[in-house]
Amino acid sequence: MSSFFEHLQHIDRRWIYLVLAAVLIVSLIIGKPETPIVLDTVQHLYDAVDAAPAGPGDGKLILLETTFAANTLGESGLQTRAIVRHMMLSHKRFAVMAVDQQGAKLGPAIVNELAPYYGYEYGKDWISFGLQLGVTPFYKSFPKDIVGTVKTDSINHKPLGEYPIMRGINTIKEIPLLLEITASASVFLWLQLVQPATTPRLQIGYGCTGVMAAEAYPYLDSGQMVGMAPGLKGAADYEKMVDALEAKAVASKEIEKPYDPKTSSLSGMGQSARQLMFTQNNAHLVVIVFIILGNIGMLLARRRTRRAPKEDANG
Amino acid sequence: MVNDAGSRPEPARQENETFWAITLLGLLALFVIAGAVINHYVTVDNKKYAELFTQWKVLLGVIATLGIFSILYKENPTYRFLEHIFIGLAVGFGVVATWVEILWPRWFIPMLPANMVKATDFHGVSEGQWWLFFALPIALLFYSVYFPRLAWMNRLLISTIIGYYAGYELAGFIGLLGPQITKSFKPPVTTYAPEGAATGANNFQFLGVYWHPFAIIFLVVLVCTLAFFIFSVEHRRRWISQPAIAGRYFIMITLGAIFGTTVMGRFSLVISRFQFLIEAVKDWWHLIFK
Repeated sequence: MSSFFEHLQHIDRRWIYLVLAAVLIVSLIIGKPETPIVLDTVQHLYDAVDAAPAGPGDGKLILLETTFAANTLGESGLQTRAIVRHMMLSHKRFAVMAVDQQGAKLGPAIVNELAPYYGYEYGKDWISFGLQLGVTPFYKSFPKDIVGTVKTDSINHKPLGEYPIMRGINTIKEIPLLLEITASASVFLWLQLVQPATTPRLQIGYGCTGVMAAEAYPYLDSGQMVGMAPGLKGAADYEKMVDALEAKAVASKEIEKPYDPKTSSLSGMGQSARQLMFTQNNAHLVVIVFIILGNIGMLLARRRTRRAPKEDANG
Repeated sequence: MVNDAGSRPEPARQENETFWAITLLGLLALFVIAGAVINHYVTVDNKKYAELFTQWKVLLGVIATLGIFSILYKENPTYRFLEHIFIGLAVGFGVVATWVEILWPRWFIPMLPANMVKATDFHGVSEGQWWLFFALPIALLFYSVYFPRLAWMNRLLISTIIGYYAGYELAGFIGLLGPQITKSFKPPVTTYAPEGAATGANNFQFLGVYWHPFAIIFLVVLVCTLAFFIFSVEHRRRWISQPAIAGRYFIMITLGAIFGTTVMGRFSLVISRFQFLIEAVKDWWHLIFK
């Protein structure tokens, strides 16, 4: 028995990859949606979006920054989708921008996929500021003069002033909430250059990749960020709350049918975050099982090597 | 590439690599030509070719994904080839995107006179800013590094950029960490109930005062972790060495949490790729059998 566990310590890593791949494929095919326990940070983010005064009569809009590339669609893309669905269900007006070339295309692409479901109209309910240069002059001039800094939208290349959504939107005071969905350090420029200069302080909600989550907690504790959706888990938590909101909207016939992620043409976004969380959980379980087996093997091997000299000494 | 002596390349291996490089490049060229031909026939009315072109793109994605995953089995020429293609594409995309998204609309178009700007898709852009042209010779000073006699010009730009970032970082530091420093003053015991705080494990009354245990934990972790980084005092005496040891454990717990979330993040990325493969197979199954 012990030789079996000892063997597990020296197992070819390719077998581990094969087992993981099999688990991932089977889990993805099953595609069971998880019902996760919502993290406090995600709940705070959801509440901040809910409370933001960006409705049609408020004269303000939420700024959604989608600074990520195609390689993190599995995290950032799903967060963006959940948040945009929430904003559309709660009739918030918003602008999308990015400081990354791919993000400037992907953000509006996600919104465009969702807009027909919720009856959102470009220029009236949402607008795309497109790619902005993530450099100091932008962060200095944008808060003072949004229309003058961005000038034209990225879809029709028309002056921002021509769109109804931009009426009365001049400075950062008309942006009650910034939602920063990012796979890079772009949020720090807002924290460094814009937030300290705004009164009242600009509220920043954060959607980051799993890798970046642990380092963001000090910013939540200090109140610099109002909430955070970390990685796929954050997206799944947020989606759970949005699904509940959507079920109410369907029941009250506000919208025809719930959003179906299968209709998404974006790579890796054909399932909901909650379904993907099921796959993620199974993958974590496999890793945990391998770690436990490896450790049992190590302990048994250690016990055997300790016993061996005693047996030799006893003859 | 080199033999055991580390001096000369092995001819047989080099030949093998050249063969694979040429073969894979040839296959890729054929594949790209096929895609270009299909794309040529794609029109708004021609759904058949549009679907074919979509499937061509998916097939390319599947081949690239499986090729990159092949490194998990062992090092192979397909992986190396695709890795180089990926880096090349990323650089190419970056160059084109910089021109299309940044230099064209923000530098070149604003330099044009008003009548020429009107002829473009960019309406409402400021025009006639001819002085923006001088950004080009200034930026080209970076390349003076290749001419020893003129290399000093390169330093002018670099020193300006370093000076700019030094000032910027100093101002940014206060904006970024200032609120965290002020928030780190958390009183563990107060004579009053904090405004808006609910009664619970972190806020209860005992001996006539309000206790906040999380603030005590926070202070202990903060002080111990800072103690670990105090190198101006030798860690020989207990008052500094013991908190520093505890601080080391706290840092290790933090790094463990970061590693955990990193694993989670990496799994999300691989799940996204697997999902793409499964969706592609499902589509093909549907196309062939239904």
